Amino acid sequence: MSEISKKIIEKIKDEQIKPNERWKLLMRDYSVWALGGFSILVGGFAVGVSIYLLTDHDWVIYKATERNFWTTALMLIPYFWLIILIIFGIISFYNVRHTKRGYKYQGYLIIMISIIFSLLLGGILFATGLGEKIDEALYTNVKPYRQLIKHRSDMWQTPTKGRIAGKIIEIREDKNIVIVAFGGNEWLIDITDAKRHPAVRIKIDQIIMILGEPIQNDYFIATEILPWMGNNLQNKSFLFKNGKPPVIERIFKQRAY
Amino acid sequence: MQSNYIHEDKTDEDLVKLSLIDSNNFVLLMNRYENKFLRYIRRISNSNHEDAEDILQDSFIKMYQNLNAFDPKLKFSSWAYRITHNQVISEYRKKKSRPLFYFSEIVDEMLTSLKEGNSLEDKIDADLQNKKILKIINELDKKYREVMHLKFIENKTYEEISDILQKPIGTVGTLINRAKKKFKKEYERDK
Repeated sequence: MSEISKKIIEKIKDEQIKPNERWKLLMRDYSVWALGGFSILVGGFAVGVSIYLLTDHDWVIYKATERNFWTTALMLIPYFWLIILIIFGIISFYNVRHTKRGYKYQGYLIIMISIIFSLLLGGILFATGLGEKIDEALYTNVKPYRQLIKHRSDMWQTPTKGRIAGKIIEIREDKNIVIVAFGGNEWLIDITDAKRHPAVRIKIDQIIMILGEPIQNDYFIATEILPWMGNNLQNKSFLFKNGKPPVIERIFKQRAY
Repeated sequence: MQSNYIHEDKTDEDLVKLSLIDSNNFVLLMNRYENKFLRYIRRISNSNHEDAEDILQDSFIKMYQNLNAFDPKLKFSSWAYRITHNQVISEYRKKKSRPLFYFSEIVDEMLTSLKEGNSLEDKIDADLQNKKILKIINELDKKYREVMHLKFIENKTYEEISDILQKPIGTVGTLINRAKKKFKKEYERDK
């Protein structure tokens, strides 16, 4: 036995050095995998909610503003979820890299697989309506979330920008209607010359979106009336139970209109 | 160590299992790699012999502590090289000294070869050439130095280098190619 081997064996015995226990090492490995998996899951949530928010928005609103489509798109991107996706993407990348064999894979491959998993999971969450449920739960229970996320209803509470939406509570000879907007105010809407989307029904309790121009604090001239389901969701009614978006129904219930 | 003789034909992986049962068996693994790793440490660090021995001792202790983490799908030598390599880096960070290729080792080898009786001039030329090669390698960036050293001095395969440095094989290949180009450029300039 060489001097150095002898010294090492003596040290191992004197200091009672033992090999780290297998279960501890396994726990460490599993935690790395679990954290990586959890990050992909959160990434999936972020994608699911983002798809829901993006498809729930009414992309026609750029017509009502001076902005072009791309400026509107930039305005509607759910930045909060995008940041969550990036942060958890980095965490999952780091964790996969730190698994036993993680170093063998090229970085771009890990990123691509992580994105594909998040997209797949996000797509499933969106299609099953869980994306919406997560958004709704956060919107209802987490105050800062309401400030961070531009909701569809928020986009239609801006009469000064030519957008308003609400529930019809009165019809006056097919020329004027009264709506209660999401903010709770009542608005008299002149619909005489308004272009109506074929799906729009001027009926009490119908929720509609109106593009136009505010004349006074409670008087608005409509140029275009759209159904609440929005142009981009017209053909996706299967996503909503009873053909109505549940979120808005609940918003109305919560505010006890 | 009566078991030494019995276990001589055992593979490294078998010895890992036996070391987990009895720490005395770890001596057999140390005996197999002691000189190789000591040379490796001295080549990649600027440590003297005593410091290199200390690094080697810490490396072997780490190996022993982590025997349960050894993945039998890897070569034991790659895993052990990785621990030794990381220990050198860790010492380098502690002391803030830059790892260098240690030349006294090369000088020792030069003296040995001189004694072997081939043409003295040829030997001197060859060794001066070696010294120049090592000087150029030493002046490369750390990432290139590491792969050049493992590839051309330790004669490791791409896969082994990948396991030692914990980098994808593709990256190892790219680093070696770039390192060779840089090396060639510097070598031509020094001519």
